[in-house]
Amino acid sequence: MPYETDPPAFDGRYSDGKTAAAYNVRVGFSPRGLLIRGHNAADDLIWPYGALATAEPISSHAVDALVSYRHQPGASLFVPNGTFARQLAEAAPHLTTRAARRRAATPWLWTAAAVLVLVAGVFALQLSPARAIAGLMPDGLRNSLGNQTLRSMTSGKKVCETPAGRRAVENLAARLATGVPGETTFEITVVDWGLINAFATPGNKIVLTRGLIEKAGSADEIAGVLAHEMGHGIEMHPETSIVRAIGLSAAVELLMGGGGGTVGNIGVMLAQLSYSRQAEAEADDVALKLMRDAGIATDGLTDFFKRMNKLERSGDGDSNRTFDVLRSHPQTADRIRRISAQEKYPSKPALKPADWRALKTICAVPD
Amino acid sequence: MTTPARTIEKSGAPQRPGTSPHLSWLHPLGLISLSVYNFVMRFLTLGIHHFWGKNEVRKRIWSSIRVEGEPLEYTGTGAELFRGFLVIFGIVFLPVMLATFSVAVFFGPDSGISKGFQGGLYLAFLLLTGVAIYRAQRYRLSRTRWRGIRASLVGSSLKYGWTYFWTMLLVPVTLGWISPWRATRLQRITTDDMRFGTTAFSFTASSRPLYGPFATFWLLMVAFLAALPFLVTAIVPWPDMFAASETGEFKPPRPEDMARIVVGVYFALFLLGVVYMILSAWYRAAMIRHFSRHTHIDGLSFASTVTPGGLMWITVSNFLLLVAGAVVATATLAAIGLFIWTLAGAGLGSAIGDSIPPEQIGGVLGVPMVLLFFLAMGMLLPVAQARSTGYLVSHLRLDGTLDTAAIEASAEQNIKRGEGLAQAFDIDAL
Ligand SMILES: [Zn+2]
Repeated sequence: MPYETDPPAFDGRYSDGKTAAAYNVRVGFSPRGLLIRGHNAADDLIWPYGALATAEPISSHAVDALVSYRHQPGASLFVPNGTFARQLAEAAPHLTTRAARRRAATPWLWTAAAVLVLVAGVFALQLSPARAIAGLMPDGLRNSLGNQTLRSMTSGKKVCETPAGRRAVENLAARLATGVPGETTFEITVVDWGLINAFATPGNKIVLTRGLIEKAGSADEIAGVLAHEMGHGIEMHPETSIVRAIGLSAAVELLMGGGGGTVGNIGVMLAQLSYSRQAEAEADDVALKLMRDAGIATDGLTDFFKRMNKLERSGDGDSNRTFDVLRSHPQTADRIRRISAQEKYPSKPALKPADWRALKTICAVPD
Repeated sequence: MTTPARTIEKSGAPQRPGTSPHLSWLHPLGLISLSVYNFVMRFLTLGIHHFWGKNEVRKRIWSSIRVEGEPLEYTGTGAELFRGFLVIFGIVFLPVMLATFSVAVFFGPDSGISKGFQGGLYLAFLLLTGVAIYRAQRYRLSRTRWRGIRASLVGSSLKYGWTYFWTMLLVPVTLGWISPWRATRLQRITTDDMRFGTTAFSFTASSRPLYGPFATFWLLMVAFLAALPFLVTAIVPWPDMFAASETGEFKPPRPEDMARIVVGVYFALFLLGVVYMILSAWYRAAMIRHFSRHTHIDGLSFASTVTPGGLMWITVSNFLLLVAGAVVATATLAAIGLFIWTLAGAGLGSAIGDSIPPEQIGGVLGVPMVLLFFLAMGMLLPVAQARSTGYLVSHLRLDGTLDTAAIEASAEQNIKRGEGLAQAFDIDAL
């Protein structure tokens, strides 16, 4: 670039940073740095290019430049001239918008890439950090979580517990429990609720509704649904989805720079809406194993699927119900096929006829 | 090193001492491209770039404000904003989230302890809001320079926070009538604490002249609030959901009614926002002009000529601008997505088709599109901010004189800041 020292070409205003007064100066580009000249050439200031900073990065739109110098803090030089700004950008390329943006963005682009690789790795290896954390939860916490979930989902509804009905539930749970690994015990609650529904909460608690029991054609159907929910419990899906929801909302909050409040919450709600297809398949697998170990036929479960599927498609009944077992209903046909493909094994009805009748009327008011 | 500056000081005559400085606004160029760049980078860096983008926008807006033709300088950095956010996130949001969660889990979300805890948190946040406002202002002022002289806020953020808090509690008690007095009081604390170099600002406004415009605003607002339910039900037919409650059993609203309720509520909120904006414009304009007239520094006072119509226009046009930006951004991203979908062709299509039946694809894609739209609403925010600031600054005049040579840098001006606990909380996380 054409360095010219004498006379400096541009008019500028210089402030020393001690008071707000400004002085008219001439400014030019010397080989050693920016040349600032007051009245006497003998008192010239030289500001080396490498130690310069500008108030804003110099863009192609620049019509002026406000320059400061690292070794003279407070001092500033204002040159209201677009040509000066462009020449300054040439002499000190680190002052351009492009350079400033590269400095600001590069480390974070690498960070983001690293995070994406990490996430991709977690997915590729089918790791579930949320599941791992859920596994670390102490039983006390899982129980408290389960109690709160149970309370909020069943609030204002009566718990069904005719003694004979309770006995039937216990018998069914006990039969299925033969295949449950370890010491895990399940706490099953039947609530007086017309919706056809069943869900598992943290801490191995399961809720069945009156609607579900009334609509079931046989005890085997209830056994299948119960086994499926036990599958969710054994695989810790409820705990995992809570950990995932908390992690997601924290991550979204972090990513949105704190402004993500609403957006984050919508995302979290979506994440909580349902278990993944994979989770449902896992629960089905566990259910099949539990039923085989208990010697209960799987035909009841497939019958139930078929009937519910038809009901759902025809839009009959309550249209706003959520039914866990059918949550991923596009795959219901698939699931029926998988269950039917199971090898047959010797089986006995899930409940004795008397127990089944007692279960059917578990919500009846005891006389 | 020696101080060649001294010699320049001696040799050059100070520029017109005791001048009547001219304030002007030089609208920044290239803000739209900066907005789009920041928006894209925010995605590419998983959100982190936000702080650097915000900082660059501030630099540009500050530079557009000219006193005697010379720009204000913003010396803050993106790293400072990011650090501030991490501090707030780490010491406030995360612990509060965990504590709320734990209390809800162990005592139940509806228990007395849980409710007491929530109430306490709410009060604490209200108290901290004022402190945070003051500290954010202090941060921004301390990063603002003109002719190398830094501005500052020298008072106590707790004092401001406390005033903010107790006067806030009185707002509902007084049905809002404390608002003009409150605004004046808070503005006085801030302005009296403000320094340019070592020179103090002063504030001489009383709240009395604001009560006329406020009364008009208040009466019109009350009349509107009284009419709002009728307006909403007239335009969005309200479902007859309360008829069922006579049976004594609560009947959850049907989905189609639910949609109507949601639309009704959002419509009411939107209407409320628009009417509030319109009705408050006179009061807001009166307040800005009144406060400006009674703000002084050295021999200067300020004079604002903002008008209700001007404020309304800025608000409405900025809103339309943000919506237009969001529409363009969402449409562009959707088009890119569709293009990739088409390019990827059958392979990707069938993979997704297996898991999502065709009739549900719309629903599956709809939610991210809505989220994207709301995110994109913020894309052109820098342009909107520049327009608002530009409107205020170009309608602000400086009257009187300023003896620039008598305005000295404060002693701690060039001490390296950002150390120590006190400074750690001078953060701008809002
Ligand atoms: Zn399930």
